[in-house]
Amino acid sequence: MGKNNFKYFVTTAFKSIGKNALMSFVSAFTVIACLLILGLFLALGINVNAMSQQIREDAEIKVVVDETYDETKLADLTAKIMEIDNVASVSLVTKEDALEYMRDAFGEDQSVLDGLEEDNPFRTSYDITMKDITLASDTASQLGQIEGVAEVNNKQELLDQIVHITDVIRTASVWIMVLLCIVSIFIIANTIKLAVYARRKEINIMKFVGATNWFVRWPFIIEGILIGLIGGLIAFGLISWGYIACLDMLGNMDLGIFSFIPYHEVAFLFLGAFLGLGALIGALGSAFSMRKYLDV
Amino acid sequence: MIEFKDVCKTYENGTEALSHVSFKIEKGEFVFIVGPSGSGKSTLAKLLMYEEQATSGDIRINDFHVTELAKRDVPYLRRSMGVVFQDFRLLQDRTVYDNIMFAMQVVGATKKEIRRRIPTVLSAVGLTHKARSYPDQLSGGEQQRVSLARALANNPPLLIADEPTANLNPSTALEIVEILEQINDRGTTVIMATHAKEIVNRFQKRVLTISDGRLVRDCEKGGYDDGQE
Repeated sequence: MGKNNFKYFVTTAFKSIGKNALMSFVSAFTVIACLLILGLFLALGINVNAMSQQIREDAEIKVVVDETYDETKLADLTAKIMEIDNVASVSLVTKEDALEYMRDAFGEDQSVLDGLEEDNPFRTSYDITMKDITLASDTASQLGQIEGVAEVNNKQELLDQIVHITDVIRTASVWIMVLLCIVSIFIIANTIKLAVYARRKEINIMKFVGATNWFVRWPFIIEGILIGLIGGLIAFGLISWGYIACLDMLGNMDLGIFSFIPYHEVAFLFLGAFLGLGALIGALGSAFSMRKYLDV
Repeated sequence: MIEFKDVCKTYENGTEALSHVSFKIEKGEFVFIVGPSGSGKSTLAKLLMYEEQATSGDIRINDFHVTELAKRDVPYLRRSMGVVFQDFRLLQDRTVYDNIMFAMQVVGATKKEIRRRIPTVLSAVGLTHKARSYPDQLSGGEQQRVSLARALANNPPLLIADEPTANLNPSTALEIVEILEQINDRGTTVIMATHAKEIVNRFQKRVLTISDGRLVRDCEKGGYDDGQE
């Protein structure tokens, strides 16, 4: 494709979009719809992923020490826990620590805890972090077998649930996306078909003066890609606006440990995904039309 | 230049349009292909333009072995010929100049080549002053001259005209064939399919007569009915 030709292809494509303004608009609109839904699930997906990551990171196993266990032997117990391969760190939380923590948590109402120092109802425990979170249930059962351990609390179930939700969202979004992409491809294909029809005389003449097939096809392919890119850009604008608006709204809410990924960290991902997918949908749509309606 | 050997063409619906047609046309000739409508004359023109392909037989045009042509070589066969149709086939939304430029752009001509070539072909058909006109501002004869200029734009060694005068009045038709004759005088091979008796009789060129799909007469310098028994 020479420089002269390229210029010709692009001008022809732009003119054709102009002549076919309504259909081009409709096609771009379906691309926008498709990409917006992609964007929605992408945003949701990334954030849920990040959330499960955060939960994994501070997923600790809590081991409660048997009340009958001799507190002077706690050092032994610590050592035994450390012997388990997957244990990364162990920190002892004594009864007194636990009470102190509760006082902080109760804040102004801490007076209800007064007097408990004498007969501390809390139990000595360990907070344990792991090297490999996926081995959590194995580690938990190993911990349970140690003498002096009364209870093992592991956040595995919560993690499993989050992983499950993430998977469902991911699968659902992939299928919705595929479906919408197919719809967009067909609508672009139809637009290009109309453009081919509108220019059938021109194509016939091109054929007789000896234009190569690709010379005839390129402007239509470029037209499809342009429609896809325009749709991608508009969708990017809309999703950026929506994301920032959501952050503003949710930013004021206290969601505990969780915080959303800031816009600037996802902007490039969205831009790249939208433009890339937009162009791909456009190219596929016109290629599809070429095959069917432009046998030159 | 052009050779048909035992060429047959049967359409998919079973119509046998041409059967066992053989002839040769040398470089620089001017040939009329004549015959009533439905005789197979326009099928012959379509085979020449590669709009249709032969069912059997052998066709060679301008060093292209047409009957064994790969699909990707078709554009290059077509670049070796200029074509003119009964219905002109001009693009109504652009000027005479742009119509011709379009044919040159398609085959990758540079701007410089286009600027040089278009005035030459426009003057060859006598339309220099109409370069900026649109097709609907021109008479039928003028439109056909534009399509002639377009056919000449890429300087092909062969010009094929399929009923180029069918939509024109007799005096305009005559002008068109005179231009074709001038083009032929400059060395271009010209093949014109027609059923216009007066024109064929007047110009006294080689005449190939098709009737019922067969080549029934091949007459050097003749009239429409010459050689008839």
